[in-house]
Amino acid sequence: MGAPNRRKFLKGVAAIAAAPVLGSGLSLRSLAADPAIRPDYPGWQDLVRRGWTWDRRTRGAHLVGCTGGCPHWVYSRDGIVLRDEQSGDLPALPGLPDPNPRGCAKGSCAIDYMYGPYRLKHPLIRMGERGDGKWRRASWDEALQLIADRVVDAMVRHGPDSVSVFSPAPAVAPVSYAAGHRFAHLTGAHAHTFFDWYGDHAPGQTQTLGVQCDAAETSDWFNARLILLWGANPVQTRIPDSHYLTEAALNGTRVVTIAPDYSSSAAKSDQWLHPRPGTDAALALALAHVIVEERLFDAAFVAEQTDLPLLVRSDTRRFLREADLVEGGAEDRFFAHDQASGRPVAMRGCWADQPDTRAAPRHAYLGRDTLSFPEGTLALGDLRPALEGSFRVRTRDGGDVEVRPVLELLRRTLADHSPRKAARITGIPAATITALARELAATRPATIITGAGINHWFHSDVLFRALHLLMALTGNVGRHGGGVNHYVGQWKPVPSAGINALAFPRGVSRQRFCQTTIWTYLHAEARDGIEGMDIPRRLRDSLTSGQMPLYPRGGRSPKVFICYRGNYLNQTKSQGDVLRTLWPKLDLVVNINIRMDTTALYSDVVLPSAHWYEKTDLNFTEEHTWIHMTEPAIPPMYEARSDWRIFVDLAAKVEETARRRGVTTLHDDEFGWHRDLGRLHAEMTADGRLARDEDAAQFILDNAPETKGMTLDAIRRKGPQRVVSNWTSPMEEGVPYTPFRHFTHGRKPWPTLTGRQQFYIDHSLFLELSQELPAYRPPLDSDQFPLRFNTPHSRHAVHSTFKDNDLMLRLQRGGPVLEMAPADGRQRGLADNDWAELWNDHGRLICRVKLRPGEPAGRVTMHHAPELYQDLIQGGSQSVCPIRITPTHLVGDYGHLVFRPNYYGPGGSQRDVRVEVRRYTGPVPAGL
Amino acid sequence: MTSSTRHRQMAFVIDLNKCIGCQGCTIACKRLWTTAPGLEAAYWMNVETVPGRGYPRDWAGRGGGFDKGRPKPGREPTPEEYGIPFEFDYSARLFSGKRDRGRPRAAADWAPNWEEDQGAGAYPNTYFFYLPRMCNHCDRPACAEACEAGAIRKRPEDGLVLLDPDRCDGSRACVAACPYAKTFFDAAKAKAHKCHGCFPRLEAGLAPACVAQCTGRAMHVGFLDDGAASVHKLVRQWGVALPLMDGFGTGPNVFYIPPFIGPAVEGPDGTAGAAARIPDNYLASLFGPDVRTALRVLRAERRKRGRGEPSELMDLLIGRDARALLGHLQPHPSR
Amino acid sequence: MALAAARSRAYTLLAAATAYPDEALWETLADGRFAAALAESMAEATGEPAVVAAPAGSLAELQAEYVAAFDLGRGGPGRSLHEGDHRPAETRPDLLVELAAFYRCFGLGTQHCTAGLDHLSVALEFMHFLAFHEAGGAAGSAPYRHAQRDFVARHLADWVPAVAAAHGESGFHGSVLAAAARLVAADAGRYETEPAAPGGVGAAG
Ligand code: SF4
Ligand code: SF4
Ligand code: SF4
Repeated sequence: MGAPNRRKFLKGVAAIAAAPVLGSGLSLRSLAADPAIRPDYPGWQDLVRRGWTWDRRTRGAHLVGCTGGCPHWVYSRDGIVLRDEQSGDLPALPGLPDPNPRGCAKGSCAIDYMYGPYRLKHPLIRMGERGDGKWRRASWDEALQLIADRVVDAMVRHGPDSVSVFSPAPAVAPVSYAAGHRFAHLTGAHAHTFFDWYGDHAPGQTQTLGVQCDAAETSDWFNARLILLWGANPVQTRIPDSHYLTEAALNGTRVVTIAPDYSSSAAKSDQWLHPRPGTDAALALALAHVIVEERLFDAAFVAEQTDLPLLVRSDTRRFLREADLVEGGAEDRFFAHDQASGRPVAMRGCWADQPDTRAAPRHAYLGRDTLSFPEGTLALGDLRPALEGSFRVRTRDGGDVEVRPVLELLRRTLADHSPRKAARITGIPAATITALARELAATRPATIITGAGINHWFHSDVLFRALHLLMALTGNVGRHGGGVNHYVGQWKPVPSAGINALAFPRGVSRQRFCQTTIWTYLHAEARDGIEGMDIPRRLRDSLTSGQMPLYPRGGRSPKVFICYRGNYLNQTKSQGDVLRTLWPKLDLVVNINIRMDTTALYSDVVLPSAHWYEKTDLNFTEEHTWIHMTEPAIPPMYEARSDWRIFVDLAAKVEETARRRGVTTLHDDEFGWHRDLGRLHAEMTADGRLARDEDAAQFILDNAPETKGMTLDAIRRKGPQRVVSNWTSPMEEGVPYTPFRHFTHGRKPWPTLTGRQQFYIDHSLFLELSQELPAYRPPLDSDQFPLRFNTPHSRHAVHSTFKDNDLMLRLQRGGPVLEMAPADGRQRGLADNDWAELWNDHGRLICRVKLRPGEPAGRVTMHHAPELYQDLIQGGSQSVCPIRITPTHLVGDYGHLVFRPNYYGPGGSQRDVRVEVRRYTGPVPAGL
Repeated sequence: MTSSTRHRQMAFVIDLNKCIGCQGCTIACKRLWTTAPGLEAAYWMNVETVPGRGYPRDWAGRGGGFDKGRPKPGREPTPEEYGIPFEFDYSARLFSGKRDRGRPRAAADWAPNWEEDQGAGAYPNTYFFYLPRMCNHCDRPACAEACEAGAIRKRPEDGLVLLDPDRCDGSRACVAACPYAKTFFDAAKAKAHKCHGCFPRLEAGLAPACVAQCTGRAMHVGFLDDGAASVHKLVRQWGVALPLMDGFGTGPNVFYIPPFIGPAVEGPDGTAGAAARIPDNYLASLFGPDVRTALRVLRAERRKRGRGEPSELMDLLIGRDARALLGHLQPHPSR
Repeated sequence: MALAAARSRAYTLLAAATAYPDEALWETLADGRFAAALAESMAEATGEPAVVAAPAGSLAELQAEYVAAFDLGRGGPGRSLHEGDHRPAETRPDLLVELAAFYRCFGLGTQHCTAGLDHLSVALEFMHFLAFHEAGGAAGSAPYRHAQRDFVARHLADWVPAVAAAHGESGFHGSVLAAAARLVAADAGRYETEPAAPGGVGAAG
């Protein structure tokens, strides 16, 4: 029982704990008297007056799933945080608009999570059923002991991989992220991917470029002369970056929004195209059609930088490979037809050119490490690769086969995507499409800014490949103010080498990672409602051939689930199946959190973690290139502890428990690793060198090239520091970061199989599905319901964070709403603010309706993932969205298409959902 | 006040092309000045989607201000028109086994930003924009004229219209008199209250909180007679910043750059026409007939930038340096 | 001085009883010593003894009951034992700053205060401390008395009776809260008739 010992574990409290309940002396329990101080009581007004100035200003960041990365000052006094404000000390780049003040309304409510009713104060142990919200307090000792017992049980009985640790978004809080992952790493637990699972990863970008993702910092928007906001609504979802958009417009840049609804960003654009939902690829291919047909493309760029000149065999539809031509030739050397010599020549930079040892990526975000490939270059020299025509080559077995450049094949495919046809599919007039294509080809730099709006489609990969094709054809890649810039999620932990070294000290390759989409789909036995795509078999094949991972191994169920810094249960697709089927499989669900969110509510043990202003951590984003930090303005309130400390303490407890049970050594056959739990605490803290949050933060800075030479102290004193290097481009003084310049300007091979931006993927599955080239695939019609269900990000929340904030809710309608076209509402007898019921075969939700004239008929919208305890009568957005696995995302045996955590794997599509809505006529609970 | 005192006017310009409706200003102001118990419903700064009914609901039709120079009677907004602040009891649900969800305490049927993003016009010709509204620190403050207790005065050094709570006798006359509904009443203390232009910050050389924290970089502040200030240039030189509903006769000192960037009206065949989506007449109803000239000037200047020619006006609106928007003021306290 | 001593004693008992129940409290509850001590000190302090309902069941049950009853935020049944939960979340820092200033002014550190500065048991403990010194010192007792008067008027009287009413008198915690409310009300009434402190209430308006 914890209570009797509760105080023992609070540092330095032991003496006070002895305070007797009875007795006539002075007895203090919470307050500590200093006998030296003589009271001077001036009256309360003076107390208040003296109190209302800050005596401490510390750096603060919002460690939520937000890409903002907005540096703040936190003002405090006497251990109380008074307020925070944007620090305003981000340096401006010459000629570009000032990045300050950078922040948002939600961020201004950060301290409500310290002082509001949602705050977790003490470790809690569940009393009733999961989700009941009945708890008793526990001491840290009791709670950690309970967890340690179950973890050791699970390790011994079911193997270490039966323990599962989930925490997303390393970039916002790398120390906190690393805490639980280091624990997982040292104990053999499996960790989770999140970037793919949350639908932030764009598989089409990985397929084309061999990178996890990369995008320009947003100040680069100002450099564009034409901006296509393609399914993106930065005015609502990238609030601190939006000014670059409006300022670019004032600077004469034309802005075009492509989105089905008249959004806040459409209102800021010169032109608004509203394709029918899910038909974007038809539009993109029609634009490419015009550019190719009218020969408006940048032939030199295409010849050097893309696979469009590579030869493809007409008989097999596969690339012409060296192995086709000569005995012992390489499988991964590719050819183009050289117009100068009239012969097929091997193109440089492909996979075969790079010694195997170097091909293994140092960086988890690249398909292969072409950057340290000394001879690797894309420079064509005297070669003049043909982009069209048909040629014949003699194969090594004596055959005579026809080969054609990819562009030739593409041209034929595009022939079927005329603007006229696209007009029928998208509803956008053909003339408008043609005009936009010409403008795109004629305007440089031009950029596509995009995000979850289109990335959440089931077939988002072919669509993203089409967008990349447009930017490649027009030579906009690697150009300041150009490129496909995808901003969904906090996907860029810039100093990834440092974070990985802290989180996975023996190497990422010795860390078990499940792919969370697959993990959830299988363990929740989720029903996807898809017929005819053979997904279960394809998934099985992918798993049995080791293309994608699954933990625990051998199809066993996970036993212990530790979730921190993430709201897994609230955000999960197939939420009903997860609660019904996955949750009961878990013997123990642990949540570590600053607040009681939906996942915490359905957990067994909840541990209070320090708020963002009560601990030290770093903060990174893809939206700008400055690192900043947060530090304790005050010590953690109540009994909260930092994530780092919690896992250090848990490691100590597991070590103690393992010793007591005599199970300190565990042989881990998967990695041939003799785990010594008797040294767990020592390893967790690197023998004490990483005992504190600050040590861990400095360790990250010290171990990544991007942050070389930086110190925590310098960031604290001087303010945000710019990274010194970056993922796919050099950092240039005074110039915004634009990705991929190592390839486009340094002419290093792209990290793909062919070493080029690869639009042709001759994997058997892609060929079978006729997706070897970018293609248009209509949205799924698996749900037999009339309305499309759209779940975008919201202006007033960062995913689920701030969804429950009073000040934010007062600027909305007090709870989640379903936005609907007035005509759709009328048809169903729904007036504004009526209660409505929304359902499909997967679930049901009941909430209020907001009729919004900008919403297209046939589609309804709900900002994604309200907390399950908010003002809906039933369900939440994830109740009706099933997990759906796109077959092409399961490929893991093709050059750059391999599973690596958060680099490639099935994404989190949830845009193809269809539903029906009707008036809700049941009882409406009274407000409070 | 002696006759030698120089009368100066602090003015605000809000660029509706840059305002993204993020409510950063609303919250910056709210957290600084109106969090005390009893002030929950009051927003000295609010941002509303227009066309719409606004905050408080239908504020523009309550009277107040002046009619041909004579005070026009006005009506105080009701609590329902302000919106009864939502309150929640999450903790009962989260910590004590209460099954029901966290629901707003009051019947949720109106709130300060209730009509967010709704606007007007049938799809696809929908239109809307965001209108941040604060006290206009008017040349002829109707609030002050209505106050018999003499609690409201316009101070000469910066033209701010300030309410002295010690003098306020709780008559509420100012609340009814302000045509913009920007005087409020705190029933708990029986005192009126209103935006004071963050005068404690101004006196320390700092921009008001709403301006300093506007992440859309849409707000300008400064003395109208300061030739170097962007507010002076936009209002006086370029004439592209216009007051809201000048017809109320109070002489507002908050000026707006009308929204001039936006998609055109779409024809039945789906192609874009020539006419702006937001009807000029609607803009004229807000910003007066001069809005047509202002729109013309703004569009012409932007076209120059499109052709790569310089435009002082567009540079002013872009405001590359954050300080360029703030006249003589600083954005943040120096260390 | 006897009154102050009795109040000091009542306040410390109530502080212990409104904190999360621990073994030390449980022992004194189990053998009835707590009830007796509280009844006696309340009788002296308010002229009326307090009747404390003996908790049924085990310490663990009392603890679970405590979490369910009090670990609530503001709103709802309004039974949270945190003063800050009874006002808008945005204003909590002001409140905490003021409370910290009260404590600091008497040399009381809050570094061990895991319950939160604005928790009822901390406030009652502060009153205990002030009353204890009032009882002990003859000449130097004025600041302690004035601080008690202001602290009751500005804080305890403001919310404790309401919480007690919302909670109802049943059960151990109900009876403890009722006693706390009674003590606070008695103090508030007594102070009303006392002259203002120099620079205190009324001086600066
Ligand atoms: S929540 Fe995000 S956008 Fe808002 S201030 Fe914080 S980091 Fe910036
Ligand atoms: S902070 Fe600026 S951009 Fe945001 S709503 Fe206010 S005025 Fe508009
Ligand atoms: S806007 Fe209203 S409150 Fe402000 S000065 Fe004018 S009349 Fe007075």
